[in-house]
Amino acid sequence: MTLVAERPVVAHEEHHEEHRSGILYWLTSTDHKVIGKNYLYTSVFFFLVGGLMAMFIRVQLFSPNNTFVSQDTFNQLFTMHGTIMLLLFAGPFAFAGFANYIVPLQVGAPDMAFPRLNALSYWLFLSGGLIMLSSFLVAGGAADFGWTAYAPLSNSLYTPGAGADLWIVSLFLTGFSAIFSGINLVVTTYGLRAPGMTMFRMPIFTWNMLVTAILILIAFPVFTSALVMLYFDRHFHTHIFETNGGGVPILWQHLFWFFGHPEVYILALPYFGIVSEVIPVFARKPIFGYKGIVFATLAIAGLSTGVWAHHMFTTGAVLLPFFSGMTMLIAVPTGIKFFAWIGTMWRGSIVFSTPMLFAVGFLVVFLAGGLSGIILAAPPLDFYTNNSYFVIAHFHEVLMGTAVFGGFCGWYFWYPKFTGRMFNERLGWAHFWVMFFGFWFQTVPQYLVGLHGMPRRIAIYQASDGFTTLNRISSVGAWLVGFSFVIFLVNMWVSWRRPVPAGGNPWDGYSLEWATTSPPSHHNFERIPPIRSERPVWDMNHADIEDIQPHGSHGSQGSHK
Amino acid sequence: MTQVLATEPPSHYAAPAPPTRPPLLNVGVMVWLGSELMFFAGLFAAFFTVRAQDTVAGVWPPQGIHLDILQSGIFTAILVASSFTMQRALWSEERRHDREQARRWVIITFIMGSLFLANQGYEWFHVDFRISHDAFTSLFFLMTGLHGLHVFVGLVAMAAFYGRLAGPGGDPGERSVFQCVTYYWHFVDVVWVFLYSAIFLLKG
Repeated sequence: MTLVAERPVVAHEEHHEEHRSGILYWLTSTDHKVIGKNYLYTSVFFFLVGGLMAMFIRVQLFSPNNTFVSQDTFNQLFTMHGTIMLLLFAGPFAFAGFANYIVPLQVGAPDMAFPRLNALSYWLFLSGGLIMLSSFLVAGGAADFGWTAYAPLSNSLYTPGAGADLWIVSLFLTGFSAIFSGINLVVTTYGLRAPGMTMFRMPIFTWNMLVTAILILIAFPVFTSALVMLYFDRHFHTHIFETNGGGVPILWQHLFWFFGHPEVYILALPYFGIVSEVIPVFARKPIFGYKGIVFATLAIAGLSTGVWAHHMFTTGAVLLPFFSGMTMLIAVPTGIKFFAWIGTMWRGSIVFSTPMLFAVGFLVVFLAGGLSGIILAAPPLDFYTNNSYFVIAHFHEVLMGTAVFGGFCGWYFWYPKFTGRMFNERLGWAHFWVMFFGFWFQTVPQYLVGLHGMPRRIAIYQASDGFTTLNRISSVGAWLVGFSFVIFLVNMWVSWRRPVPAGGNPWDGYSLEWATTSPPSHHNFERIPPIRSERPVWDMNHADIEDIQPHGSHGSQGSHK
Repeated sequence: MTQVLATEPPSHYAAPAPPTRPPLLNVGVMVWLGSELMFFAGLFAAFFTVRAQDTVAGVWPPQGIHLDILQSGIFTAILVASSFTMQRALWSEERRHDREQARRWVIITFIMGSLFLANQGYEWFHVDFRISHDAFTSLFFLMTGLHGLHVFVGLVAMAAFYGRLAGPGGDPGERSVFQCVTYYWHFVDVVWVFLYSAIFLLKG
């Protein structure tokens, strides 16, 4: 090992753009870091908006016969909460936010492959998101058919308002944004890897983003076509999802879930990638089972395109054994990942900084959510729990486990890289523990109240139903989760007002983003360290240590192409 | 902004990518066409689901629907032939470096594509049903319309590229754009062959 870079990198451009600032630069920038930050801030804004809706929902459900909001408003709230959280927060937060900022850095590239397309993606996402929010302002209010928009409820007879149209148009635009980001990311990882950065030396995060991009390219266009058909049904008197005229309402469910189930892995895989970066760094060990994780990711992606009808068990129109079996199969590659993460921590010198706390929180929460997923994958149990709060609790565990625990794990991990500042560790610690405890108080009662028979999407229950106590506990838990984000905002405020410089590599990280300054200069790298393993920055900083041979790179030590 | 950045000094910055690796634009367009394929897959899924759920078994297309298979077939042949003329245009530039010949073949392709689109418009106004008649007619107009939109985009791209081909040439990205327009055109043609088979030829 040597410290001398064998391939000296010449900064090919003067950093003439580096000192530009102001609104015009922000509006016109095609720098992947500016766009990535835009995505991150915008999606966190949507997260806070969607979270506020969740708080209102929990106020309404705090008491029987509550009249905090009307039933119509309640329908709009849960529809918008679901849509915003999934399609305007969880997806764009990781896939376009972290992916944009981190992937070019991790592969040693100066930018994404198509910077202008990248900017277009962001502006499509922002306009789509604002259209979604603006639907609250039209007569009749926002869409209120649930985030799944099942036919025939979503047709022009049962949902006549303009809010539903804005919902369709918004998702059409954000769908294109996701597709363009997907193309950009595939081409970036294909063509812009630095010399020495072979596919099997790419960080797991980059791998997961690549697989997510492929899933997006498979799933989103189908959703786009379904949205077009729905729009035509609503406005041009076509009959595709309507029984009069020979249409097939259940077709919407098939098309929606053919998108929707890969979509939940589009929401999960990036966060798997984040914790796969964080755990090795804070366990001070290389990732355990590198190739196992990569192939498990590919297997999850492949399986996820063949399980959509497990959302439709109770329709009676799908082949139960096939979709049940395929669904349960997904537990295998996911289990491989869990063992790889635990194997990485095993006998490591674990440092429980805030990102690591969130990573471990992710493991616990996602495991619980995954296990209730196995229950739901079994048709007899699904028939019993379908449409109840049991389902709500399940997918809030998996989605909050990934997008919130995993997402803010990534936020805290890379925040020093994004801003050049450290955050307050004690406040980060408080954020985690308040959220973690609040989360269990929120979720476990929901499982129980679901088993007691409380259906989802209802605004009012009676005192005689026996749901009151569990709902009260759940509401208090949800408010604790909400409060934890006040701590988060305070932390960010303090860090902004009283900056503590972070330096280039505050965590002693492994991958290439830690080889440059924080925040990186306009074209990212002054020089790129030689890439001989999955941990080039570790190799450079700890050349004197006889390293454990990293898994998965035994055969490729001699080859550099 | 190419993959050679990390190794090459600035003087090589504008050099074309090595021949073993396709240019990034081509890769991007290929990936994008893959997603386009999924878009049409959604429409086909709807079409075949509607067909499978059709209540009058054995009658397809639904009763009262008449389509001129021969006329559409002729224009299908024209569109398929335009794929070959487009490839011929690309080869004129790639292999013979004859930009004038390439321009001529692009014009021929453009005319053939326009003919196809004109027939599509004619057909829309002369079929004996409306979009609101039933699920089949809904999908007939949607699928041919969305495909027609793609043909139109292809024609716009072709016209824009013709402007570039009429210039002096010599910029390194030009051939890559030419190839991408060609890929796109082939894609649009192949999708149409399947659309024609499903909508017009499928019986019973």
